[in-house]
Amino acid sequence: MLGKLMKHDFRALSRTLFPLQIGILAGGLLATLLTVLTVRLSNASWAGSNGSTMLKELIMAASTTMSVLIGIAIAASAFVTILLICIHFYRSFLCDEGYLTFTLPVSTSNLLWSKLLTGIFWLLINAVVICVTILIFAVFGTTSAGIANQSVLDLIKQFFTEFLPRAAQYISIPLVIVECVIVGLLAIASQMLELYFAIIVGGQIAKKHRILAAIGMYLLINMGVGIISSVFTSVVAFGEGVWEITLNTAQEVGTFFTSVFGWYGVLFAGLSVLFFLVSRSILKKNLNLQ
Amino acid sequence: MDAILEARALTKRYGATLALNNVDLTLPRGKIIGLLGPNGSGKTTLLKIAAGLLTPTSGVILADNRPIGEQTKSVISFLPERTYLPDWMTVNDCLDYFEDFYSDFDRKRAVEMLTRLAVPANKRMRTLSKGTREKMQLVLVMSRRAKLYLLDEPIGGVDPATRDYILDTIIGNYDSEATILISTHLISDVEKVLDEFLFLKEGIITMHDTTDNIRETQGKSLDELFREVFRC
Repeated sequence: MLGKLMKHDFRALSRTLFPLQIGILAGGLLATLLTVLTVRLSNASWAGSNGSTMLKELIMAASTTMSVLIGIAIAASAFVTILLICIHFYRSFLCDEGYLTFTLPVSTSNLLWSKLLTGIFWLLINAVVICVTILIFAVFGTTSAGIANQSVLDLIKQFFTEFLPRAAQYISIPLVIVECVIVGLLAIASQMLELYFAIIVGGQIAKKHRILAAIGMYLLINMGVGIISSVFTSVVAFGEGVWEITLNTAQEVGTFFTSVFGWYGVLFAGLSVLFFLVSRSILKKNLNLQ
Repeated sequence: MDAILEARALTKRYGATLALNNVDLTLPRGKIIGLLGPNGSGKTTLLKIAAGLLTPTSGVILADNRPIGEQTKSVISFLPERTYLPDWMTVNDCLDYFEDFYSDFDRKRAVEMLTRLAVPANKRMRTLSKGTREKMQLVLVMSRRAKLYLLDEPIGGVDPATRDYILDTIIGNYDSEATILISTHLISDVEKVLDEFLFLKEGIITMHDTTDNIRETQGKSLDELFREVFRC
């Protein structure tokens, strides 16, 4: 049943999130073109009347403004993606659609898993789209001669041919990649589950202004998470003997960060399990769909 | 024969309001039962608890001999009084959805009913009128081969012709082994199809009997009895 739930959640989210990602890519390409235009115009010598100089400056100003606005919109798209995922969750669980959701012959755990996995999937897609857009902009939008910016390409090449082999002498690159992926996924999961938990609790405590209640709950829960994180990191730091750690060699730095990352993974995993279990318990034992 | 729905000391409170007060109830299989009472008597609350949308404050409720949960939802087909299908879904999407989740969903039957209603398969819910959406929900709910149908005010707020269509759909599509619990305050319209009835007043079941028995022993129609019992 989880597969079927995910299929339908994916379809529901795709309606809004797929066009959004296409929009980000299109916006990125447009910003790249406009920036290229601005750079080329600024380098070009326009011998002529005052009018043509004014036109050049006008085009440059408009292009720059457009590029900046598109850049802001792309940066905000991550927030919009999270917002749309939360709206889908809210509608499916707490609005009229809840009558459909909660009369399905599926477990509460599966309902939550489906929302979590499809949410994570779309956040990852959004992250990939933003990265690709930035890469396109960096390679093609920052050059004044030719099509691609050779120095950016060289930098990317240098990262793979020089930096990674050098780093591999001190740390295990595959291990770091696996650790980054796992900790990153756990961080996204705990954040998504925290949002879902806030929406569920907001829906429980408020009859009318549920969205406001959910936002209030999120702020409160976030404060609690902040305190838990501080206490956890302090305990771990002292437990690891932080005052004795020396960061003189690259190997020591690598080991230190691998350890810190691992502990953060434990923290995110703990928070995820906590939010999941409490959310499931509320939906299972205290569901009151008005 | 064992009961399809059983409640013992079932109570539901909304803050200070007592919606259901120590309800004891046993509903047999294979009957059409009217859940009758004025507005605010607790009809919707009872149906929503049985459907798994509300948690009772206290008491026990069993459907098909099981506590309300994942398994009971596979044998209960619930029609709420509000439209719950997402407005972006097409008619076909809704059929896919029900087919995916309910093994007892008879798609062929649903398509036949929708064809009679002249609802195009590619129409989105948002483009359908409220009445057509309600009929669409009824078609989905009645196209399941469920053991228990819970219908909350299916004929409330519709014109007499639609009322007839709804009642015909309900009667024409249910399995004789199944039970239909239908809540309404439009007694005269449903009286002819009811085997049994429950009177619910301020969260308490005040009467549970067969319609034939009322006619024979009291010489009254159910509508007359309802007006007498619930006179303001």
